[in-house]
Amino acid sequence: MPYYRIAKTAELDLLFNWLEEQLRQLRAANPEHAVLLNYLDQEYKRADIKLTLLETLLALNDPNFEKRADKLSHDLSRYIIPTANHYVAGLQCQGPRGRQVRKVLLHLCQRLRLDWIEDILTCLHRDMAVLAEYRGLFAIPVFFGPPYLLETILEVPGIYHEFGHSVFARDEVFRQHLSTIVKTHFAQLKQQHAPISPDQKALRDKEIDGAAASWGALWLAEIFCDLFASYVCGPAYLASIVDLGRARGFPPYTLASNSHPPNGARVMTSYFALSDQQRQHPTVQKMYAAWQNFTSTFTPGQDYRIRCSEELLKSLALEVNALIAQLLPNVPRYTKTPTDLVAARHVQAGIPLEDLINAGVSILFEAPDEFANWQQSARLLIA
Amino acid sequence: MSLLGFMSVKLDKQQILLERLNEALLMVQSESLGRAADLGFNAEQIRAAKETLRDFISRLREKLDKDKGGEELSVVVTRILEGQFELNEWLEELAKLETQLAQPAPLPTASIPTLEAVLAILDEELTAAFNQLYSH
Repeated sequence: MPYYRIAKTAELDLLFNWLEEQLRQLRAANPEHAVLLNYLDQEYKRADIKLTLLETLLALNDPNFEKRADKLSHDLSRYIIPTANHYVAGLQCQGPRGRQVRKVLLHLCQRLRLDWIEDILTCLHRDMAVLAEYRGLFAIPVFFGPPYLLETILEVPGIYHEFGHSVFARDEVFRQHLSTIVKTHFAQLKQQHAPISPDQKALRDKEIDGAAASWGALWLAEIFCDLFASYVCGPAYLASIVDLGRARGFPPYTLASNSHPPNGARVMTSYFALSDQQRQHPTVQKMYAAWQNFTSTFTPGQDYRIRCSEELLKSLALEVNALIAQLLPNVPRYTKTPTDLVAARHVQAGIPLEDLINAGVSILFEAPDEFANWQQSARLLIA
Repeated sequence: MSLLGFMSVKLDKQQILLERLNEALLMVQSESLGRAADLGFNAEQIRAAKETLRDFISRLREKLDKDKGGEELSVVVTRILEGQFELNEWLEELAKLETQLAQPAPLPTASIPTLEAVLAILDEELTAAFNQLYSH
């Protein structure tokens, strides 16, 4: 075998020794993360067995196994990078604030009955994201968020969106169902008879195919997470997504990124996900009016109207609500309407986070001049 | 969620699949070359490895033939369809491989390159995505 393979394996051996030592030190420094570290140790041991196999393979000095040795080596490198970058580095830098957020997140997962989540590592140095899966495990997600997370009530509903990614990634059935809805919708759209020439029909079909293609795995994941968040925290999520759509002033019917559907579609889907009673509530109507007021200066283009028709968004919302209820019956749906102002002004310690953020949006939309003071005291109740 | 979250899940799923297949191919190839004992593999492990590969090939054939099955194979199917060989040639080759992997006899060494070719596609795709997320 060429010397490169032997040298590379020796380097892997060094990295494995480093990793083993880091895991040992991190266990001593982070007793609250015993569960997470048990999983990391388990995966380390598996990878270490593979490293021994690679060393045995190289010792055979059989050219027939060169490719196999390279593949083993690649697998081991790809094990080390996310383990070190996310978990080792994350554990090394998780400070008191991160630990406080971790507690809030663990309580949240407990209330939402996301029972597969056993521990959470929090890294507060970037925008919100969740690493939902590590080596096929969904038990130990890494949660990323900005350092000011939990300082503002409107930021909090985004957390529910992020945990939606854990739900979505864990069960392929969600993607399959949503994908079927999208495919059926666009197939039916193609079949609709219209008095157009064959050339026009071909052009229209091409537009429809393009629209269907934009609903790939990324968009489906994001729209699912919006719907999951609406399911578990109700009107507060709508307020949050309206805020997200308005705050940066990005045109609502334009793609803000390749990974997310346009904000207009995200807001409308979240609105459709609410119950009739929630949608008809005056405070929710104010949220909706705030969105309409913003969007009134924009006109959706033909591409948006095909991609994100109201009919499709409604179907997705109804289907996800039904799917969550069917597949995750223990996950509680937030069915309450926005808190009345008197109750919202007098929130007390022990209030569930979902109730607290819904009280917050009541204050925001019904008594906006009280919002800053309310938030100053209410954020201390986040637990 | 940022792209980091989505990509990491996608990468993890591909990585787990590829690791399983790489390991299975090593076991099967070691039997074909008469070196299984040198690597410490027993008959039961090799039987399970053949089943892992056979199941994968069967799902790939189904996806190629009828576009049925999970998203994880879409990338391989796309690359195969874009390649220089006809779809029928692939389907025949994969059917033959599936039959051979179902036999207790060692897999003929002449069949190893087909398996390698399929795994190489997965490997290339995974490496490209991995570099996108963790590039220097």
